Amino acid sequence: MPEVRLDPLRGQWVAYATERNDRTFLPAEDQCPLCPSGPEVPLDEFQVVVFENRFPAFGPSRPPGAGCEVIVYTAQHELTLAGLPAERVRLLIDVWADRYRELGGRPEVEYVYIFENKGAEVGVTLTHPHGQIYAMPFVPPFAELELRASGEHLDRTGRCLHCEELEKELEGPRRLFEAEGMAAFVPHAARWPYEVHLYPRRHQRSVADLDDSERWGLARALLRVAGAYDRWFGFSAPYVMALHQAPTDGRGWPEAHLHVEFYPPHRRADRLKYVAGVELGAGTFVNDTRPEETAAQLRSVI
Amino acid sequence: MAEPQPAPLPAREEAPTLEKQVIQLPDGRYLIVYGRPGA
Repeated sequence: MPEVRLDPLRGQWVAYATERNDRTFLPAEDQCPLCPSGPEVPLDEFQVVVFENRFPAFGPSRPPGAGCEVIVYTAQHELTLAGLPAERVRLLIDVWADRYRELGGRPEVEYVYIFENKGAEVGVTLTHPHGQIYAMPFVPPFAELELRASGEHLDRTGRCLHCEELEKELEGPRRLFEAEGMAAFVPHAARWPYEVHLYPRRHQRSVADLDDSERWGLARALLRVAGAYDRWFGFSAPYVMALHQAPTDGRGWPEAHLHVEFYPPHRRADRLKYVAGVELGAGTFVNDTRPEETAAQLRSVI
Repeated sequence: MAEPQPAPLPAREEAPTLEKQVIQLPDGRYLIVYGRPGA
């Protein structure tokens, strides 16, 4: 049974989920549990499905209200997000919005964290295209840090820190593109080589706040970023994709600005960036690339 | 060099319909099936 413990020295929650140690690990293609009529999706065909994770990191009862869901993007095992039609990515965004509202509406859930791990290099155990949603009973540390910074900036200046950073990035050498209400760039202080941040130009707090046009724009923008990685590296590139949104604890969170962060683990096509001594032990990232150079490289294929 | 732009989207008067069906699995978990009508 999962549980969470609070580390008193760092003030951070740690999740324990021992059942996950025995979860399905890189099964043969014909044994994929996410394919139609498999053990997780007992349907002959589907577009997008969501189900409760059989091996949750949180919940469903400890702590109360927490939960972990798996979101399967397509019935086609061999595809990736980058290979989906725009219409399917648009459907995926509508599903994200629905899950954000529904899970965030649970009184115990303070944060709905939507993400995708792609590739064995970032720990994927099932290659069928899918993402995950964690309904968390606390605001996780990275979101908390960002919200604190943007909240203090809002109090001091009356402006959104994300909006200001976005304006600066779009004028500078790390800009990737701006189209259909969305903008993407390699951030000034990128921790990961080829890290990309993708924002709606309008100040929107969550994916559920995006209007129809912005959802189409986000669908196309996600395809451009994910496809650019594949084209630049020359293979189906692994990454972690993380949505940062407003917490769902009932506050207004005017300082929150939806964005999607991509962290590919490659520092070049034949080398991985590892989170090791300095990152794990000291909390400081060392990046072997310059954001301005990786931005130029990605711009050439995006 | 001009930045490549995606093809313009077709004009839409309203957001596409999201169909949603919740299925209870034998082990007590839920499965939610999402889709577009006619897709």
